[in-house]
Amino acid sequence: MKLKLILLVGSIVLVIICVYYFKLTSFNSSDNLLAKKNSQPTPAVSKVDGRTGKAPAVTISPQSAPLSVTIAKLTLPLTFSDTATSSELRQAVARDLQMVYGHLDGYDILSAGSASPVIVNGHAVSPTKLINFTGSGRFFPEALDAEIGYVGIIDGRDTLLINDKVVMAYRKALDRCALQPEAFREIDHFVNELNLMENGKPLPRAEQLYVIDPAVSSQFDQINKDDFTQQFVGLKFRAPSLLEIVDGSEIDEGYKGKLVGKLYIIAENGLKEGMPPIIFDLNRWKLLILSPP
Amino acid sequence: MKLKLSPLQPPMDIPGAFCRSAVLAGLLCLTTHAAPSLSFLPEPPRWPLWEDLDQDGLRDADELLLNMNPLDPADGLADEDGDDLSFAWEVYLGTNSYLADSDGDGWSDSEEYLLFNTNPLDAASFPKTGTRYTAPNAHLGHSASRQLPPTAVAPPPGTSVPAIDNGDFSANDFAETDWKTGFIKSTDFHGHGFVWAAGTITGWTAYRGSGVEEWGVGIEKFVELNNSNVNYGIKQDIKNVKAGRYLLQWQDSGRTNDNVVNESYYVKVYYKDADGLERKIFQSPDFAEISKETWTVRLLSFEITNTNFDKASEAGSLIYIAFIPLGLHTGYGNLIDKIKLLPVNFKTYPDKVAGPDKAHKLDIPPTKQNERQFYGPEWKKFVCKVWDINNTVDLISYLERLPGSHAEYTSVLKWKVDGVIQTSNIFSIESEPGEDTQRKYLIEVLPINGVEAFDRLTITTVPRSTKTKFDIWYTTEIKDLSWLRELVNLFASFDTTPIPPGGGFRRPDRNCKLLLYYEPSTQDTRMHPDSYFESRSYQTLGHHGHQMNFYKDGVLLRTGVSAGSADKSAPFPHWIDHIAMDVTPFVWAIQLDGTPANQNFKTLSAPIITDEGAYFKKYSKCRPTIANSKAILPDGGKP
Repeated sequence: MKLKLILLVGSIVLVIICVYYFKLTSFNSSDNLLAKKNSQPTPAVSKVDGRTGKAPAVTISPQSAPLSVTIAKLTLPLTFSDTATSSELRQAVARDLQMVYGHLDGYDILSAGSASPVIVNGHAVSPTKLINFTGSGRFFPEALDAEIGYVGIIDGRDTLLINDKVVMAYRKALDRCALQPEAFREIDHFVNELNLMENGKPLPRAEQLYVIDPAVSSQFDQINKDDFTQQFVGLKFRAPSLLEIVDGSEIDEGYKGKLVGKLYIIAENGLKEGMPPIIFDLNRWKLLILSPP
Repeated sequence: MKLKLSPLQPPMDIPGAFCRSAVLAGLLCLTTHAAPSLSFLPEPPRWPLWEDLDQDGLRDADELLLNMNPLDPADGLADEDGDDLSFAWEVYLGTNSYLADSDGDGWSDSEEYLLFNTNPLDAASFPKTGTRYTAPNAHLGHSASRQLPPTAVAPPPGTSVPAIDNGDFSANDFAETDWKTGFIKSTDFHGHGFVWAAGTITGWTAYRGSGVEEWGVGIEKFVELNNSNVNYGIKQDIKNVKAGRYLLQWQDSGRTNDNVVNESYYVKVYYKDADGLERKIFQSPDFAEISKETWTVRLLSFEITNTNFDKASEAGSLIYIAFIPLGLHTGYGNLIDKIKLLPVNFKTYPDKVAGPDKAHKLDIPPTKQNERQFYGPEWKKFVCKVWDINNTVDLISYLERLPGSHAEYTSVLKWKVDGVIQTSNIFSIESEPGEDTQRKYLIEVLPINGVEAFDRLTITTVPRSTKTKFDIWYTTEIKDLSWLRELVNLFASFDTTPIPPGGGFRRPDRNCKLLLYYEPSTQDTRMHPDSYFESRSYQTLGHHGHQMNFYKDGVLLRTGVSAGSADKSAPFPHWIDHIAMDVTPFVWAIQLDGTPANQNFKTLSAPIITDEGAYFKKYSKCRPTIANSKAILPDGGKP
């Protein structure tokens, strides 16, 4: 009994640590992004749903700890499906969405079509419209594709609906986090380390920076790793979404059990993809050099 | 940049070389155009409204001459060969609307005309970029491949089945009044209200016997299903039928006379073999207990395969549809009206025809990816839809159908989207997919009264940025291909003799220098689906390199998506540039060609669906599989 209690308490502590560190990462990164934005939001209201003005008169008591996101200067409160039972999970979702979408600077308002309702406090809340966020760097985790942007009206106010699929995806991500909390702590250090690389200064030792796939190891030995690293110098990086830190089997069965993820480059005109994947190996994140596509 | 043309401007001027070859010489008068660049489809030529009612760029008089519909803009705006020039433009330029590259010089008509201002009808006139793509039809030569005007003689897609619902018996409903006698509708309406005129139903003859019986009220006419010694059943010959699934719709009604027992009947679809014997394609159940004085709508679905035509007459794909009565002759046969035969197949285009919105068949030669098994044997058709602000798709628009028949389909079909039934042909494709990704929807079309799918289509939707970025990438890259000249030789083949265990992997570099060599796993090689060995050349001073992919016998793959291609930025040490300049544009291309795959770390999430898609072809002009004339050893040469 005591053992179970200890395990339970331990798990809770790990989740709190994960969420705390992820919060740091997310806020830092999204701040960087937002600081780079000079462009004004361009709300292209191209298609307004006919039902927008005829919202169902739903009165729902507020969910605990109301959270919101600000995207393209729209501040939208979040309303979660009833399956999002923990406030830690809700806060993690809010912070992650802010990081993933916060730099976008425009939107279209579209018909919600036949999107399924979200159950909130036992009430079915049907989306009244769909906000399609636009701008440069629309890189979204796969689990959020076609799920984020549906707006329902609760107590007369537009609110961004977070449905079961999204809740489930984040719950799994937090479970991964609970299993390897050190990986989620370290990712912030790793991104900072890359961001601090400057020309003329000593670069991280190669063995600390890379994991080389066996398929290319002998060839990669021929590459001057300092030359390879030079391409990352001076760039600014953003950490992956919580949903984009996944098991290594997503890349290859040989990496099963190790966490892998993808980094983004913060460019002048928005986000860019194109970094090698990163892998958590021997208690630190490293670039994973695979056979090039 | 679009062509800047005022809608009511007089016709533009086309350079003399093109004017000379305009199909409608004498009818068309074309003047000047600005030198445009190609990023988007050019707007159609503009004429005053009174000259071009449907504003598709072809004047009404010209459309009539070409046997086209002056009220339907789709025919003039169609781009059958996917070269980014509409039919109207092709007519005015004199280029071949069924060939993306009319003069066979390796450059599409739009590239030549819009981008480089070279002559798309002169094989000797093409962009001087230092490299030349060899078009598959180049050996035909310019004159042999010219067919002008192409669509004036070729039937437009979807017209293989003649409309049976012709004006001869298209009664909308029972008339209230007999047109001739003024007889008011009554219980004996069927017996007294109609005028009989035998053998005049266009396209229809007796299944057995000398003619068919036409009845009508005013201009409303329908046919009696006779069962006599001289006239027995009805049939229509249907020529040029394509294999596929069809819906047959009609309505029937029994006669009013109390003494009449309305006989049952059945429908048969058949062809005739070389001996003139009927060979059944499909036979319906018997239709019995026909309601009197009430039209009952009937719906049947059946499939015609190519084997149905094997023993057909010289007419080729000729079939017959017959309505055949059962039982004894009573003198009062059932009435049949409003017969329609609707093909219900998702239309596909040849690979050379560019998407989006043009479905391709899964046509990649079988590879180790086993594409057919991956997608399932029923899922053979794929189309890319560039997401737009309307975020809706009209599923009927993807069917191969008769011109102007859209409305015919709305009431007889239902659909499944990702397995969920919906009766509307319009469905929402939700929010715009994320950058560089696609989202897929599995579409099935079914008869409204059935459960078996007629056909299946995978629609992938990509964000607007994918096409925009690819177009910009292509127009930028194609202008300077001089870097390809720097690349080193490729190797035509290498020795695949097994080596003893523990001897390491085989390297084809005994006499050459290769930077990288490995044997990719099945999933690793999805970007090159039939590659068994992959290597990369050492890079040039400009950091360019060449990827080489080999088949399992060690022979270099030279064409198609399985082949390696030139890398403007070799991956080591410039990984980020390699992804941005060489890999991501490839992913855009295969997505725009309809492949429902996302880039997934080092590979794709699903196999590529076409070996030579139109966007891939554009990609391979900028990143050729064999970079330059010196870049290959003779066949059989080994390093």
